[in-house]
Amino acid sequence: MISMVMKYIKQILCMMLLLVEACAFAQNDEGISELMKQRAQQKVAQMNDNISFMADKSKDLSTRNYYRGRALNLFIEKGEPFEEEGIHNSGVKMETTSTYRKKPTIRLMKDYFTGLVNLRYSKVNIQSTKVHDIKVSDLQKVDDNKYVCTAYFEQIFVGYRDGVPVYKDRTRKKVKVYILAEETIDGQEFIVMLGDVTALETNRI
Amino acid sequence: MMANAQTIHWLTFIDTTDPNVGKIDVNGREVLYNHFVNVVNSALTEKGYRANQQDIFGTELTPQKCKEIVSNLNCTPNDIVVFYYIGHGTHGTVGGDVWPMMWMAQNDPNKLIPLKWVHEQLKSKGARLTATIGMCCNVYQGINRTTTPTFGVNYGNKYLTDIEKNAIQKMFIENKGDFLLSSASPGQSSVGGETVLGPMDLFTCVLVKNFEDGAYEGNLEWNSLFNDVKAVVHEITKGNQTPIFVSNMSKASAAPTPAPASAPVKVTPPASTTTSTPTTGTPSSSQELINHLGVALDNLIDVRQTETARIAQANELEKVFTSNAVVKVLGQDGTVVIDKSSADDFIGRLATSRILLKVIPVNVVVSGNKITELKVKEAYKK
Repeated sequence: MISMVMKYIKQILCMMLLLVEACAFAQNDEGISELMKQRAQQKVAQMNDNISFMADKSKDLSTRNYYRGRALNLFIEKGEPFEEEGIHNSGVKMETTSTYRKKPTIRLMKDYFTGLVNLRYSKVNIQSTKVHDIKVSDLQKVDDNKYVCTAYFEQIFVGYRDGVPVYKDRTRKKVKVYILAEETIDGQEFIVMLGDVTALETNRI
Repeated sequence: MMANAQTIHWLTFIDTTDPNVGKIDVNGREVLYNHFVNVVNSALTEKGYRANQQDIFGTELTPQKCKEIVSNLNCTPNDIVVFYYIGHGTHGTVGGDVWPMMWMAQNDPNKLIPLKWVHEQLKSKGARLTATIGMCCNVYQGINRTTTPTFGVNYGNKYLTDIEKNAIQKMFIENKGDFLLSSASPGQSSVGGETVLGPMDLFTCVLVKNFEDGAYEGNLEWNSLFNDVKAVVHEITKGNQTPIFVSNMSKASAAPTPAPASAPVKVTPPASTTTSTPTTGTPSSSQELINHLGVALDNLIDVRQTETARIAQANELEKVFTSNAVVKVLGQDGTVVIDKSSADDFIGRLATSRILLKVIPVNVVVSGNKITELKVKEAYKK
């Protein structure tokens, strides 16, 4: 009963307070920033979902290759070379680590995906942070039409041979996210693309 | 309308052109769809329910249109029907039943649509669950009450948790019967103004807020939800507006979830060159196209299908878009374009995603038999 009364009071207060507030339709910059961070989460989660599928040996090879092509569309210039602040970039990259190696390896995303499809384990299981748990930094303005932010997630990799897990690690990663703003006759519109993925820390588990 | 699978039919009639309340009802429509219709559709998709949305507003809203759609609706036994009206209403002269009559964006008292008539018509369609909600005034006026329309027909997204999803599925699928509601008692007006969700009618605002709270807590039940809404509206208006409803619901086991569609859904844009669905009116052909696209997108993200089947559907769907077609993704609440891509990239992303719960087409532009632009909202599994 008390919670019901509190609920009513909360509703009444909300209604009264908002009599003097600006129209909720007019989304301010902060609102848009939150929307873009949410979109960044979704794009990163989609990348992780595709990575998990591409590595899954139980799936047909040609299907995994189809996924490889589609997953590249999530990235700036679809993984192909691009210019950034006047500097030539050979394409978006993925940094990978292994507890077997001292230094991280940096590969072009398209090559990383090819490697993922052809991993030498008999079975691979990759799990990543769920979409709503992916942390995203505040947006930083690069110029009038470009913002960047960083999304953080974890990836657990398990490699099997003959049904037995022979390698397992947890890696913390970050991905650069580009938010491009375009002025159109309908107003401002955005495009969210993924950039380089960097490995922050790897632990064998 | 699509006869396959089981369907949730949304018949929404919203007066967005009225010089006095039209503006707040524009927002009311947005809120109703973003916080209620789209959310329910997302939750029911995985139970095999397809959405048939008859979203009538702007210049399309007429009593004739309402009568036509209500009369012509076809249902199968496991379907769900929800009618929702936002606009002016009247009780007419004192007496008769307690339910209001709806003006439907016009001023001729001979063309009023009785809410009770709508409910009786919809109940007779044989769906497992029928809910009729009239968000309008129920004031006494010197207008004769009627029990049937007296004129002829002129044929002319967010994240959804498992708890939220399960609660919504239970509310809509595990009940059968009918539900009739008027947002005001006889002799009362329905009020509107600035609310937590923008300028809109109070009843819809309180409904979607309580619906969201109930879903979040995993506790959604028709009677308790609407008793809460009734109490809050009554309280806020100091007794000047008290919703009334009758509920004839009983618990029922959910209908079996149909198997995923094996063949790609054919989407055929209108033959003639058309323009975008205007925000102030909804051409029926565009509405029909949006409904078919909705089914095609549901199938495309259906993880119960094989990857090969989804890829085949993607290939089919790509054919109805022009080579330079653009798909824009809107924020869950409002009209901000938060992302856009080519149609091919969009379709490919959907066909290879296992994290999407629902993709809702909201606007389509067609040119020469092909889609040139599509706007959608996306809901993700939490």
